[in-house]
Amino acid sequence: MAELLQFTITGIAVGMVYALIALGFVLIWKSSGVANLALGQIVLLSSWFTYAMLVQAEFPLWLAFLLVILFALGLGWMIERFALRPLIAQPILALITVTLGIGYFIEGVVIFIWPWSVDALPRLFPREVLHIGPAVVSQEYVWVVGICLLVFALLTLFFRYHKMGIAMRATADDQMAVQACGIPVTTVFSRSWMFACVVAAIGGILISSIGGITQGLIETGLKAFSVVILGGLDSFLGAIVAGPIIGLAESLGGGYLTPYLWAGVKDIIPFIIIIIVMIIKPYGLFGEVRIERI
Amino acid sequence: MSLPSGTRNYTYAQDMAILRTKTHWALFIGLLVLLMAAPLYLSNYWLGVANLIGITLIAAIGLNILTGYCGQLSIGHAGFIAVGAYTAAVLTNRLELPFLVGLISGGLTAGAIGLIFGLPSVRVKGFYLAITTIAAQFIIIWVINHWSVTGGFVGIKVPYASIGGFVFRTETSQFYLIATIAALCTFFAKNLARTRVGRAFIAIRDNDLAAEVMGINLLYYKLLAFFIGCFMAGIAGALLAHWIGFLNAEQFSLTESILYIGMIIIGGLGTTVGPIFGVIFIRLLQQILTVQVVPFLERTFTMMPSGFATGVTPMLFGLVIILFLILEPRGLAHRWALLKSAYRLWPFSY
Amino acid sequence: MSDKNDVKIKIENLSLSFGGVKALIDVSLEIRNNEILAIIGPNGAGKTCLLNCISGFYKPQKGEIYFEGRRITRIRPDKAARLGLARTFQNIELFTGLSTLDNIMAARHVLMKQNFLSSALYFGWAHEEEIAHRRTVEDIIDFLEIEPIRKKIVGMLPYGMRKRVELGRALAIEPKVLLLDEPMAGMNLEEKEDIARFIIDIFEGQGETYPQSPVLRDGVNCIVLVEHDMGVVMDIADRIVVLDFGRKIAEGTPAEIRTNPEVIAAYLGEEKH
Repeated sequence: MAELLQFTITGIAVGMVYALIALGFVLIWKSSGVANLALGQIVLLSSWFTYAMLVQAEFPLWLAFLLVILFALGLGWMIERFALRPLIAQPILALITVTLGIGYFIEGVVIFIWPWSVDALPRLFPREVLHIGPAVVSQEYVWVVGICLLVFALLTLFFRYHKMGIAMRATADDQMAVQACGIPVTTVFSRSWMFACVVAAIGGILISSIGGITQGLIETGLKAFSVVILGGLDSFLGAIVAGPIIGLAESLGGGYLTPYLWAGVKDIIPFIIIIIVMIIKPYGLFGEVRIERI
Repeated sequence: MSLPSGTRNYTYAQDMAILRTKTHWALFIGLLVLLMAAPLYLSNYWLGVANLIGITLIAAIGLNILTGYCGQLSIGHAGFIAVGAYTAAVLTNRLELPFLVGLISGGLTAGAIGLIFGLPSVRVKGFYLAITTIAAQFIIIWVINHWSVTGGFVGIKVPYASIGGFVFRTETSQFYLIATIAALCTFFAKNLARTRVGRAFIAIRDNDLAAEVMGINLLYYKLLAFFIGCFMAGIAGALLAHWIGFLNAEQFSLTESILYIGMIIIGGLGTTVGPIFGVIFIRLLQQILTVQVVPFLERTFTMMPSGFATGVTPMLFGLVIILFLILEPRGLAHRWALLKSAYRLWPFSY
Repeated sequence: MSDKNDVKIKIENLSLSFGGVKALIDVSLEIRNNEILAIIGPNGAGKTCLLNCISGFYKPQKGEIYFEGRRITRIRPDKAARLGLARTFQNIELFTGLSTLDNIMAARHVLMKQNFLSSALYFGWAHEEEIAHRRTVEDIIDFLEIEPIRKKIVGMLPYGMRKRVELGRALAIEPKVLLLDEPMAGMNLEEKEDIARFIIDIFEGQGETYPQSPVLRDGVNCIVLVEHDMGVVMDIADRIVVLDFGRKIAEGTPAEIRTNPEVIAAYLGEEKH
C-alpha cells in the first residue's frame, strides 16, 4: 500500500511537470500552428543554464531564477525571430523540420558548453520528508505539484482575460482576420514562443531538481509530446489532465510491471500510449477534430 | 526538362525521355564509367566513405519517396533501417541463412513494420504522423535493446555478405554490390515518379482530398508509400549490417533520423537527384568535420573547451538544416537546375 | 449519343447537418441523362454540400443517393470516381506541384492499370500505357485550348487558366456525369463565354475532331452545373433546381423558374416597377 501511494505521488508530480512542458507546446501550436519539436532540447538548455547560474556563478536563488526567466524569454524571442519568422508562409513540413534543426543545434551547444553532460542542481526545496498515510515522500514532489498548479492557473487566467492572451487565441483561429484587426501577428508569435520557453524552463528546473540534469531530459521533452497527443494538441485542459495520467502510467507501470517484464519498461510506456491514442482517438481527449472543407 | 534550343520532340516517347540528346547520353555513360572505375582511383578509405554514401543513399531514396513525393512526414527512418539491419544480422548470424535471404527479408520486414506504423497516416497528417514515427523509432530501438535475439544492449556480430561462393570481404567488392543496388533504386524511384503511382503520391501530397475525389485510394497509396520507403530502408540496413560487421542500437538513434530528414531537404524534396546531393553533402561534411577540421582546430587553438569536438557536429548540422530551410528550401537540386539552365543560356543567363 | 432520358442520379430525402447547422433538409431530385441541370440558390443554400454528398465526401445523416440504380450514399470518394462521377471545385483544388499535363494525367489514374512494380520497371508495359493515355490527355488540352501552359507548374497559372485545367482534369476521368461547382466564378464576360462554350461542346461531343478520345468524341451527356450567373444558367440549362437554406424550393425549365414567385423572392429579387 505504501508502495502504491509512493508510486502515485511520484507519478502525479512527474506527470504535472510533463503537463507543464506540454503547455509550452500547446501555446505555440495554438497561436501559430507550429509544432515545436525542439521542446526537449529547450528544457535541457534551460536546466543547464539554471545550473550555470546557481552552481557555476553561485548567484543567490532569487537572482538565478530571475536570470533564467530572462534567458528563457530571450531564447524564445531569438528562435522565433531568426528561425521561424523567415519561414512564415512555408508549408508545415518546413516548420517542423526547422524546429528539428533548432533542437539539434541546441543539443550541440549544450555539449559544447557543458561537456560533462551529467550533473545535479542544488537542493531547491526543504529536505524533510512528509508522511502521507503509510508512505514516506520527499517534500519536493508536493512542491512540484504546487508550483505546476500555480503556473496553470496563471496561464489560464492570462489566456482568458489578458489582451495578449486573447490575441493569441484569435491568431490560432485565423491569422488574416487578426491582422485585419490591427494586431501584429508576428508579435503574437514572438510572445507565444517566449512564454513557451519560460514554461519549459520552469518545467526543466522542476524535473532536474528531482532527477538531476542528464541528456535524458530530451527524452522527457518527447514524453511531453505523448501528453500533448493524449490531451489534444490544442487544449490546455487536455495537457493538464493528460500529464498526470501519463506520469501515473509511467510510474505505476514501471513499478509493477518491471519485475514481470523487462527492466526499462517504464521508458517505453509514453510512446506506446502515443500509438494507442493514434489508433483509437487521434485528436486526443480534448482536442478539436478538424473538418476540412473542399 | 529544358532542352537546348533546336531540339524538337516528334513523339510522346521523345518528350518523356530522360536521356534525350546525344550530350545527355554521353554524360550519362561517362558518369557510369567514372562510377564503375572508382576503385581504381579511390583509396580504400575513400571507398569506405563511398560505400557509406551508397548505403545512406538507398535509405534516403526511400525516405524521399515517402516524405518527398507522398508528403508523409516520417522522423523514424533510422528505426526502419535498424529493422532491416537486425533482421539481416539475426538471419545470417543466428540462423546462418544466406546473405540474399537476409537482404530481402530485411527489406520486407522493414516494409511490413513500416506498414504497421504507417497506418495512422490514413487518419492524421503533419505533426501527428511525425510524432507517431518518432514513437515508432523509440519502440523499435527499445525492442532491439531488450530482446535477447537481437543481442540486447551488447549488440550482434554480422558475417560478411556472400553470393554463391563469393565473399564480399573488401571495400571494393562491397562497393560494386552497394553501387549496383543504389543505382537500381535510383532507377526505380525515377520511374515511379513519372508514372501513375508517382503521380498518385504527388497528388496525395499536394491535395489529398482532391486526389481522393479523382479516384486515388488514399489508404492503399499512403500505405504503399510507407512500404516502399521502409523496404528501401530495410535493404540499406541489411547492407549496412554486413558492411560494418557489428550492430549496436546506438547506431540508429533519433539523431540519425533527423539527419536523414535533413539530407532529403537539403538535397531537394521530391526530386530524383535530391537524395544524391543531400546524402553526399551531409556524409562528406561529417567526414571532413570529424577527420580533418576538428583535429586541425584542436591542434592550432589549444585553448578549445573539451566539449568542442562532440559539440560542434550537432551545432553545425543543426545550423545547416536551418539555413537551408530559410535560404534555399528547394534544396541543392533546385540550385543544380538553375546552374544547368544558366549554363545553357549563357551568356544570357540571369 | 443516346436519346434516352433515364435517371442517372436519384437523390431521395437527403439531410445533412454539421452539429447544429442544417446544411441540407430533405432534398429530393433526379439528375437525368442527356440534360444539363443547373442548381442555383443563394450562398449557403447547400449547393456545394449537395455535390459533396454525391462525391462521397460528406456523409449525410439521412436519405439515399442512387447512381444508375446503385446505392452510393456515403461511398468512398475514390469509388465514386471509379463509377464515373467527376467534378470540379468552387475553390480550385489542383495539384499545385504538378504541371498542367501531369495534373490531367493524374486524373487518368482510374483508367490506368499500372501497379507499383510495373511502374518501377517502366520499360515495356508502363511505357506503352503512358503513351496511350498521353494521347487522350493531349486531345483534352487541345480541346480546352491550354496548349501554351501544358508544361507550366499549375501553382503559377492565373485563375482563369486554372479553372480550365480543372475542367480538363474532370474530363480526363471519362465520366458519365460531370459535376461542375461554380465553373465561372470570378471571371469576366469573355472568359465566361469561353467556359459556357466548352460546357456545351462537352455536352454535345466533338465527333470527328477527336476520333481517338472517347470522352471528347461522344461527349459527357449528363452535366450538373452549380452557378450564380443567371444569364448563363438561363441560356444553357435544360432544367433548373433551386435551393434555399438547405431545402429545394423549386424545379423546372428556365421559363418556369424565371416566373416562380418563391424563387424570385428568395433569390432573383423583386421586380421594380
